[in-house]
Amino acid sequence: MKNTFFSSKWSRIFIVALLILALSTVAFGKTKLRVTTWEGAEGTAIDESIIAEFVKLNPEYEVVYEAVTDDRYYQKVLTDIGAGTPPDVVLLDAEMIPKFFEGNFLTDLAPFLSRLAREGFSGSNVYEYFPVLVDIARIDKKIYSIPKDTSPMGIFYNKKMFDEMGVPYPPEDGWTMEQFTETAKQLTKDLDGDGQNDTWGFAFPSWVGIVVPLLWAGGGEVFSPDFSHTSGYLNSEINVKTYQTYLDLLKAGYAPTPQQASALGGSSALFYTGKVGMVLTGRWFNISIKGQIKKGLDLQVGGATLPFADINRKDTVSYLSGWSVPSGAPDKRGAVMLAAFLSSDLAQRKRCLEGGLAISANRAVAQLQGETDPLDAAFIKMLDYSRVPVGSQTKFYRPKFEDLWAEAFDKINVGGESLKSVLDWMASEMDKAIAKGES
Amino acid sequence: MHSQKLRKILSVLTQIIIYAILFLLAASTLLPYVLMVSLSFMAEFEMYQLPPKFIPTIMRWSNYIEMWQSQPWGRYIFNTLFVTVVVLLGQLLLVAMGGYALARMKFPGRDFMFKVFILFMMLPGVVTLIPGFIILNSLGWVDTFMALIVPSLGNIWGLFLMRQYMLSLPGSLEDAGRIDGANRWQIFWKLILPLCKPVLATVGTFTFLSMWRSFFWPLIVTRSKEMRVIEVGVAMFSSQYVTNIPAQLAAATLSSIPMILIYLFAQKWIVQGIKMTAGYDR
Repeated sequence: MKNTFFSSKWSRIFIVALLILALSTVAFGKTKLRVTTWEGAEGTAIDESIIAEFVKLNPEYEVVYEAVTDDRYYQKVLTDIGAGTPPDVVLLDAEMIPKFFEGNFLTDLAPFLSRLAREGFSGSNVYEYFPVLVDIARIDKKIYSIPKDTSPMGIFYNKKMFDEMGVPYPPEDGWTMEQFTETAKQLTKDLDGDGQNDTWGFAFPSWVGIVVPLLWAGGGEVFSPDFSHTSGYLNSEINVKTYQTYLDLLKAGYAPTPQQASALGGSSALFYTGKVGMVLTGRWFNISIKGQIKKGLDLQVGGATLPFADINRKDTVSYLSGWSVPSGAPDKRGAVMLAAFLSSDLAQRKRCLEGGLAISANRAVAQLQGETDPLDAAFIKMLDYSRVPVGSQTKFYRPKFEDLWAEAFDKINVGGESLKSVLDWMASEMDKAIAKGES
Repeated sequence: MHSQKLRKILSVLTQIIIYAILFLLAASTLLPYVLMVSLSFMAEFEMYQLPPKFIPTIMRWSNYIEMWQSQPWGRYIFNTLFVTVVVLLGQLLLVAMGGYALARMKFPGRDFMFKVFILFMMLPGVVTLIPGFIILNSLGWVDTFMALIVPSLGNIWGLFLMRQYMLSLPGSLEDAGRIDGANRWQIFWKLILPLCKPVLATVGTFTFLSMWRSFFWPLIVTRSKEMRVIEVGVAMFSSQYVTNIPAQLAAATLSSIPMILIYLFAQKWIVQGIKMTAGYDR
């Protein structure tokens, strides 16, 4: 008899072994995916329920969910990347994308997403998201993050305080700097006649994340269009005029000084205790507001736009967090599938519509969200004209620009230096850093 | 007579001033803790009331229920306790043996080795973070108890303390043991170690406290919820933009209870440890 491959004893053993191996792979060989996020306890519970759905639909995967809530989140992620064990999916603040991109740490998701979208995989169709959010995650036509949720910057106002003082609410579709100033003046009162203000119009905006959109809303820019320099933009006449208006309001006592605000517990404390009528911040403040109301705080809150120099030229910024896939992820398709699923319709509904944790990046879900929460609706409208944050377009924003602004504000607030001279100094320092490539 | 009276008044006044200063210092140390406990029973908006309230109007036990239900605290407590106890026992054994070798045994390079250990004490932890993580990863220990336990078994500060203490013990003890036919291990285990109880208690107390409070290393080397420890759980109440302050304070209050108990029972050893290591940083 001819000794063929299949007739030899060892070959048969080999084939049987292969079959057993293949079967055992089907039965037990799950691919492990790891997702790292900064979510706290509440967000973690929601994410875990989303992941449970993903695993149910894709049983070939097993997912480890790693929540790192500390401010050393990025140190942890970079340690993992440095050690050659990056997570398969990582939650990134859009302003970290340029840094990760420069380190060549990110996968271009576009080809994976278009393939998954053709297969009808939920969360992979970029047209379901607000266009500005996809733009935030895009560098040179490549997409490095799938939008998770967003927070436009606007104003929260205390309706009860407005009512008690007989101050009209801010107009829904935008207002001017003059209207804002007038409102702030009307809300500032010395209630007990001791010569000291007991209520103020607004909590002074000194954080860089709100200062930049305020300057935009005033008609200015902070970087040149190609992000090669800041001189002539950051320290422009228009920016000086815009921010000087806020500083003048502060000086006139229509906002507590940063020192006073800090002593009284910060902006949130001032808002909850009815000390300030308006807080300029991101939509994320709504989570805390809802929590306080649930615990019994008698508070009614409205949402308004930032004040504009020109009502026909609206501007704000929308911050984004999104799911990225590190370049070292071994199973990229699986990782992108998970990333997309974490932003899928189901995920957006669970996180934003039911959980109320953020404004959904998905247009349809955000619309439903706006219908159920008027405060969210005010912020969702802002996405129509929101701009891409500077930080997601240039690596020179974080931390260089942020750190320099903190120093600049101290020079104004503590050092008493003029705004113009401080902005000139900051622009010059920024340009030097850009020239040297120091981010 | 008059001057004696004056002296007495002065002495009483001095005492009053000293006690007043001590009271202020004690109060300033205790106040943050008392405030933490008190605030853990309030809603966030109640924390900001003016004038501030130190005693909650309504005791919001729901903060504790919310805290307990939001995370697997039973698992976190087990992990923390297990890791702390294993590290504590392992460290005591290792520092005692190491201290004995460095203090009582003669071998080439002994003093050089001790100096190298001391040198390592001066390295900031962040320097060894990535190399340490890479080693653990290559061993497949990330997200396991091994990662939480093994790197913590070495304690140069404890080793130093043991060595110094053992150096102070009379050599005649060992000679007597040897005459009675005891071997090296018996001398260490039956003669030297029982005499080191005070220093072992000091090292043990500090090890317990530092392991119970450890945060960054467990954060780096664990991934799943099942492997997390209490301090990491406490931090979970802060997300990127929002912090659930009442729940976080409730968790911090609970996590501090074992440390307070340890302090009440072991304050003698803690004070002794501070005295023995005056001038040295762990």
